[in-house]
Amino acid sequence: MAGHCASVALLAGALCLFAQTAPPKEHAQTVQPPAVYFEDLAGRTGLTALNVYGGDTHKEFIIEQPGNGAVIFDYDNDGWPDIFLPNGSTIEGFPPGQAPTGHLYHNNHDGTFTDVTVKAGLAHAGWAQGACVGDYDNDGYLDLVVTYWGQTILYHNNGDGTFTDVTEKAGLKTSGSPWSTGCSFIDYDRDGKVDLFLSRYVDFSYETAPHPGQGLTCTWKGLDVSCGPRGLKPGVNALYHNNGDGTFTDVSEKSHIRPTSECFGFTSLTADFDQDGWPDIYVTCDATANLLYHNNQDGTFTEMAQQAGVAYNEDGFVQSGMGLTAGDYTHDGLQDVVQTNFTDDSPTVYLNRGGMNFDDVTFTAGLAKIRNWLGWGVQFYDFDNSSWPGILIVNGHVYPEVDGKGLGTSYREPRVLYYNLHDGTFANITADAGPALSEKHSGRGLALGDLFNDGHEEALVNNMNEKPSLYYNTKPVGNFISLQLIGVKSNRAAIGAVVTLESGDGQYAQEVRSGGGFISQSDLRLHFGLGKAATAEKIVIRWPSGLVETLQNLPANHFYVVREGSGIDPSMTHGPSSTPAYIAAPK
Amino acid sequence: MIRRHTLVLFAALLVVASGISFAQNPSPAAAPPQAKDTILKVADINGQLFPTTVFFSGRTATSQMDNVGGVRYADGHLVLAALVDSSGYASQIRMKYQGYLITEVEIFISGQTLKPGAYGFGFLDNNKFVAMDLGANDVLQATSTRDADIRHPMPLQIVAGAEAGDYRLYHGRDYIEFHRQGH
Repeated sequence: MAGHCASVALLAGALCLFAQTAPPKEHAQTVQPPAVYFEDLAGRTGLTALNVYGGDTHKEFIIEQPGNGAVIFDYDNDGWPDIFLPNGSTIEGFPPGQAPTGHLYHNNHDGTFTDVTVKAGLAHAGWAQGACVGDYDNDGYLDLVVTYWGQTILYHNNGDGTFTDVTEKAGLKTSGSPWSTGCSFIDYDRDGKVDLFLSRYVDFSYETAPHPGQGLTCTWKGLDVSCGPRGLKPGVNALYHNNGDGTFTDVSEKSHIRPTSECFGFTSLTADFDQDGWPDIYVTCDATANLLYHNNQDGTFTEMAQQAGVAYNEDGFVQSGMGLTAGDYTHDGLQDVVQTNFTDDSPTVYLNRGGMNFDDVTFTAGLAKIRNWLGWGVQFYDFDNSSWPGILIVNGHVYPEVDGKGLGTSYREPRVLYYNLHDGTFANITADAGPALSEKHSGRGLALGDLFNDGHEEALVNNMNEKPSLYYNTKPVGNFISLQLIGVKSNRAAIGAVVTLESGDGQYAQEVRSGGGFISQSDLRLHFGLGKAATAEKIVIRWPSGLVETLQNLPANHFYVVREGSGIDPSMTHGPSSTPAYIAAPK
Repeated sequence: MIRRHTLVLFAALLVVASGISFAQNPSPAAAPPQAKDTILKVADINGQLFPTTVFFSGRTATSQMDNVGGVRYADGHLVLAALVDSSGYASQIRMKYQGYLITEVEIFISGQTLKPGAYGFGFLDNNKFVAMDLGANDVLQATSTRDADIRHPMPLQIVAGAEAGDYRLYHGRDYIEFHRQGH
């Protein structure tokens, strides 16, 4: 609808008006949630390294609050997704050689992982935050950006299992200690080379930061707590243009990103929200209005969150945005948004009406009921392969001091799983999904990917000051197809490609995306649940270059590799692998 | 510690005093003949008209400069309002002190008078609006109205009311209406 609005000028007014006023797509039949049972497989897979991030019983400074994202990506192109988990530090610091680092886990293809951090050259200490992947030099290997309080690092993937820190060579060295949190590769000018967006949180230093209790913004519900973010100076978001020679140029000012970035920025993601063929950028902001940068198609952006209806909630109040996901939960081809917020608030569901217009439908969608947890990672998640994505949210408070104070919340909190009822609403099925999701953690990053190539998408969670969690639905799931896109004229990782599954049930769109979750990165392969359908009737791929390709009648339960302009690569397409033996038989 | 408090108090009084002296020295000459009232938005106010920090009940707080609004009357007098950072994070308990109101003229809210000066204010549960003096004493209580029709409400804005000379101070969907004496 909005695409027509963009291209058919005379008709645009009427069509866009319709898009603004049309109610959410509703389906006559509301479905019953299926049997779902999640197990936490992290320990059995070998994901055992401890996350280290600030104090666990007391936090003196805001730097100790955010925690880390999570990454699923296939760094060695063996067709099996691997894992990277950024790691933090403590205020006290560590003796030389003993500081924690991030962890790269290689997928052993048998349901286990091996920690290859040191061998890969990724053993770097510091206050890491999140991470994202993209192939900035189009050499066929995914490169990695890890954000830090301090210098954010670009790692070039050497293609031999190792990475090289090319930050300085690439022109990404910054002065001072900017606190970057979210990151997203984005080909905003569609020149076939991915550029880099960084969201930034607070202008922080130990020297200037006040201590708990030192002012209005250092208390919460009568407790002296780490100060901020209100009362502190916001960070400044940045956009770097890829010059195509291994270097980047800071275009934050020229692109109008910097002048309109007054927010405590956390998670960023990219999506073509108005279907005009050009990727936009959404940033969740903590205690400040969210940002939505609309791509003007000329190298500049216009910040329009307020006009679009995503700056505030339905009541016009600023929320404390943490995590972020975009997906088409109503099967209308448009990317809707869910963001997680602070405690005493619910997550927010923004329904995309088209034409850069959103409505806060949290209440009618059924997500307004839980307000005592503090949300971080969030993903639209088709955990039963129904093709209707549910929502998984991981929670955890920023103040350990809340424990035992009778405030109705806690530092460690359960996950919440919602099932998509196909009518624009969701049902909370956490209690029926097995005990693993109800165990309490201080969860942060959340990424999705089919790590075992068996047709079940897993959810990876980076827990603050704990080992990670890896959730697997052991119940039978529906049919699926997986699509890995390889750009030729477009950027090699096809970031920004929009894939629409068309069937009698509507059109279900996904995008190859960098960022999201909570400062995290999911597998770039697109996973489409098909329910009981034996084939995907029609798949339409809109590549970032503008090329549109259509695939028809793809047999279900295959992992397809699609090369821009030449369709499916049969040599790289394969069926599902066996589920790891240690996973219990379906209950 | 005492010295530090004294300094903070002195600085805060300066902030308030500057507002008051501005109130006593409007520049009607600057207003064009036959000028009309002007509603002020964020870009009009910026850090120029509204103090970036404000004093209330013994503490200073940062003004949220992206949540400010105001009216410049035809004679140059101002009514300005902004939300303030009164906590690191919000909670569902609606605090009484949410914003800061500066008025250079006497205004009427629900038939009650608010004299020129600086006030703390809050929109509370059950449609209550309260304005407080700088010592946190209630000086005005009124019933706020909820506007269910705004498509994309904002944390704070001032817009024209239904009658000429009436203005609405909105906090989200809640608002109170005010007008100046003689309007």
